[in-house]
Amino acid sequence: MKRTPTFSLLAFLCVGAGLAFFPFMSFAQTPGYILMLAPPAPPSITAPSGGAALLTIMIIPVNGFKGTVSFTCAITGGGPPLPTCSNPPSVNVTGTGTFNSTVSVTTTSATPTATYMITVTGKDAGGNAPLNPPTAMPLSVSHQYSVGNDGGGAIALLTLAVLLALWGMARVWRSRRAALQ
Amino acid sequence: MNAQPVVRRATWPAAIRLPLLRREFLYRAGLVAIFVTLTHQFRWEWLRFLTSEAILRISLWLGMETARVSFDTISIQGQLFQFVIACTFVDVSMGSIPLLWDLKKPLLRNVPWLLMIVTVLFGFNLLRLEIGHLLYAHGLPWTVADQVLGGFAYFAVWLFIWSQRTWELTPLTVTSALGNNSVSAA
Repeated sequence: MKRTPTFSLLAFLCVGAGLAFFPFMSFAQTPGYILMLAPPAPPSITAPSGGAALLTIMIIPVNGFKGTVSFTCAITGGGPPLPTCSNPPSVNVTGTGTFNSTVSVTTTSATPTATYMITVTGKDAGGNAPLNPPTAMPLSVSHQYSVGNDGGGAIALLTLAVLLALWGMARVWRSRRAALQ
Repeated sequence: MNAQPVVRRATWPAAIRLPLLRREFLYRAGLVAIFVTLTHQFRWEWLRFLTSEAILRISLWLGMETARVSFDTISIQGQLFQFVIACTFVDVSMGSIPLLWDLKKPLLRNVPWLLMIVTVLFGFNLLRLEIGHLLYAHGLPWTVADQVLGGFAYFAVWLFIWSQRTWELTPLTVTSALGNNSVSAA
């Protein structure tokens, strides 16, 4: 039988499509889950007045995955002391749909101004990681200072009081010494 | 002058008795409190904008990365700074008026003199704020760069007021043994 170019082309396409879809076909047969991280709310914190940002962790089961997924949170970037993560509660995947958990990131007045990367990794009961690679979300931390006040006005007045006291004592002492001579 | 004053020999510091304050000074100090309190009853938004804008432009001129966030808040090197009433020095300027007012001069001579001082104080305030920002940019804590430096700036203003005063702080005079000579403590 003489093979026509059309047949060859069709055969090539079939083999190519099969090879292309093979990984997905095998992937689709394995139960697992996808972990997604929503951007922090709010996306930036003004320390110390701001405080905390909340991130939603979403678990999407694939191919009938069921089980408990626990999370760990890591923060990189910026400088010490880094913001701190709360311990995200684990989720129990019981069916299809999306299952959510939350993690809060807290800053203190000592947290340096920087953009921090928050990475959440998941692990099911069997120790399996999500099917997708870890995702990280940025969180920017900044400080806002009130110039000349913000409770620090007391420090300026205290400094002034100390200087005035020293100045006053020096004057009194000098005048007394002058009087005694 | 070899006169022996009629005072008990004092030893530093416990035996030094602080002198009484003169009544005129107390009146002026009371007016300072009233003026400063009244000053803080207004928002001074235009002056806060003017001060922050001046600092923004000076910082930009010095090569820092700046941006305006709101009428009273600017960003320098990614750091937000909000300008409140105290940072405009308007309370210092208003509080200086009762201490600098010369009762022997007419109104028309006092007002231009005080206007000039207020202008100088505005410039002096910009200088100390910019120095504070530079110190903070070089790693000094904000408390030191702004607050402690602010205390020194207030003290510098006090020294200026003291040099320009037309009043005495205390009535203390030490009468000499001869009767005619006296040493003022002020």
